[in-house]
Amino acid sequence: MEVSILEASVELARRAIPEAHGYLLAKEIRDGEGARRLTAYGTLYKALDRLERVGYLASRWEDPMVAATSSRPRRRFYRTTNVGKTALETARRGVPEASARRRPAALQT
Amino acid sequence: MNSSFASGLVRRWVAVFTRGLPAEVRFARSAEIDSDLWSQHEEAGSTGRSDRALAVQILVRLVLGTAADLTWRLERGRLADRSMERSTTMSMRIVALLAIVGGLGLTIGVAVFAVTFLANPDANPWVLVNDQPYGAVINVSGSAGLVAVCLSLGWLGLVLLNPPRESSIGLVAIVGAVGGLLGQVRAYAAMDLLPAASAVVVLYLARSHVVHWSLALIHVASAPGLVLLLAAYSNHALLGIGVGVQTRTQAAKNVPGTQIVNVERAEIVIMDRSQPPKAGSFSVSTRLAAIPTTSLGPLPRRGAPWPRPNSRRKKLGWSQRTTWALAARDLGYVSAGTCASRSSFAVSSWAWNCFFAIRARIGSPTLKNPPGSPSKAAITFVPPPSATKVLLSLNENGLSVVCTNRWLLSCSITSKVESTFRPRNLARDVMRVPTLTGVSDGVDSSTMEFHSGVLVGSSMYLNTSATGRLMCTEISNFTIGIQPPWCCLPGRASAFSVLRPLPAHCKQPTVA
Repeated sequence: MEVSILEASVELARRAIPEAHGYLLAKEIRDGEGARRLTAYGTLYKALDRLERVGYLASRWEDPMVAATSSRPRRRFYRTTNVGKTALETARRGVPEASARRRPAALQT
Repeated sequence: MNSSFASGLVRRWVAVFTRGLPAEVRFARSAEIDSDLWSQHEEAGSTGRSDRALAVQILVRLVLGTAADLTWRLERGRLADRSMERSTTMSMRIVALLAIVGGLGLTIGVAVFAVTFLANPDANPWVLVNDQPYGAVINVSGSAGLVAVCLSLGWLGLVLLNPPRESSIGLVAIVGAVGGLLGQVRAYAAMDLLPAASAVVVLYLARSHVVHWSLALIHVASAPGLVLLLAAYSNHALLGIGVGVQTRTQAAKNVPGTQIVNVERAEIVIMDRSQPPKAGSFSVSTRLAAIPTTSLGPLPRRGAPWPRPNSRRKKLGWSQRTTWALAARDLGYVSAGTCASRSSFAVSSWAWNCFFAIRARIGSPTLKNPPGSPSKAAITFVPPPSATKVLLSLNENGLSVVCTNRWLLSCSITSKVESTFRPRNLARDVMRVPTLTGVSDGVDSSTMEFHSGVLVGSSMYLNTSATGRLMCTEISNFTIGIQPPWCCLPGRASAFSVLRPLPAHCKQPTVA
């Protein structure tokens, strides 16, 4: 799930959406994988939390005024950090054994 | 079911599994879920998805994510715990360590006790405590656990006493700890302070969000249980609460040479009666009730006279006295609060001590010894701080053991008291008395004593004085209440004191 989130985030960034909130990421994952269902709440936000704690994602809360103007709850936007991009590249390469031990637990799913 | 209901379920679930986490974490997760739900509703509206389909989608996302929610909660909980641990001081670590050691010790003691008790269902559980080898495990483990808990509480009290923390709570904790430690040196009454104080402290900790409320409430609920356990231990009974009712009408036996026979139980030992009792009043009396110790020989059978020491059998008589003294000790005399005092039958100020009221319907305004009766009575005092008087008497027909509350650093004295009542050569009957565990439930105790007296002016006097031989007395006993440990300690008052030289400061006064 963590890899999927990073891929979705990177993909959105490539489409000029550098930051994405949780639902947008879930939708991107669903569309990218051709799945029928959105990622479950618990699965999605648990993975986001872990990725942020290991530094692969950075987040910020939306300006309350913006949210109030749009009459909706505040959103939390996530963006992939450089460390996260590197980790994603490593994961995509099919990691050698030595580096796998150094690979953060967040990617060992 | 619509999407609003499903969204509400999701929000409630988030509130449930984030309960107990730091506020910022809880609010962040809740806000994110709100945002997600809002976006989901928006998309459903834009795509024309039905409300029912949206609700199903929300529920599916909820259900499939519950496992992840729970594992996330555990992860977050551990993180929070670790951060708390980092912030604790060495003192608090010592408090926690002592509490853990105490809990383990108590658990081991209780577990061994439970196993032993279940394996010996017919035995008195408190006798098992003294049995070897299980008793040693129970005593050592339980005592060590209690000491550790006391030290933990006391240490916590010292921590709280330091500003800027709560000094009053700290004081309560220290008092509880001291009480618990005093209980370890047989001041059992003081041990009640331990559960009470710990309950107060735990409630304070829960209020300060240091301890979860559920744990605090469980702890508080266990406090009365410990008090009752102490009461049960002191009673040599299974329960610390009991109700017993007994009404008995006893016909006195013919007693040659006497005018009126006043039938009383040994428990209702009337000492000097300088003031008349009020008819129908309640008097709190020393109660003599316990479980007989068969190993020391059976109690005298009903109606049988108790052997008397004489010159020929003096040694044997003394031996018998000692045996009875030991038996009486093991019988577990309870509630030796002051009762019928030397001055009055008024309800003693120690009434709270035993919650045991006997309504002696003697119907007599005065009770006096027959003129010329020798009166040599000694009463026993226990030195302060207990200052509990002992009232049981002895006549030459047998031995009654004086028992008393024994507090820390005090001594109890078993004294030989010659009866002030006549005749002294008749008078024993084993009877059953109500106990806190039920009415006459396998409890033999005490002797019936037939005392001579003068019931001047009573209807009984009028009815019986004509014959000079017989009267009937109804004694109704009503027992109800909780017997707290501090009134039950005499069961452990030492009858061995009979054989021991008394300390200089415990010399008893003799009242002629």
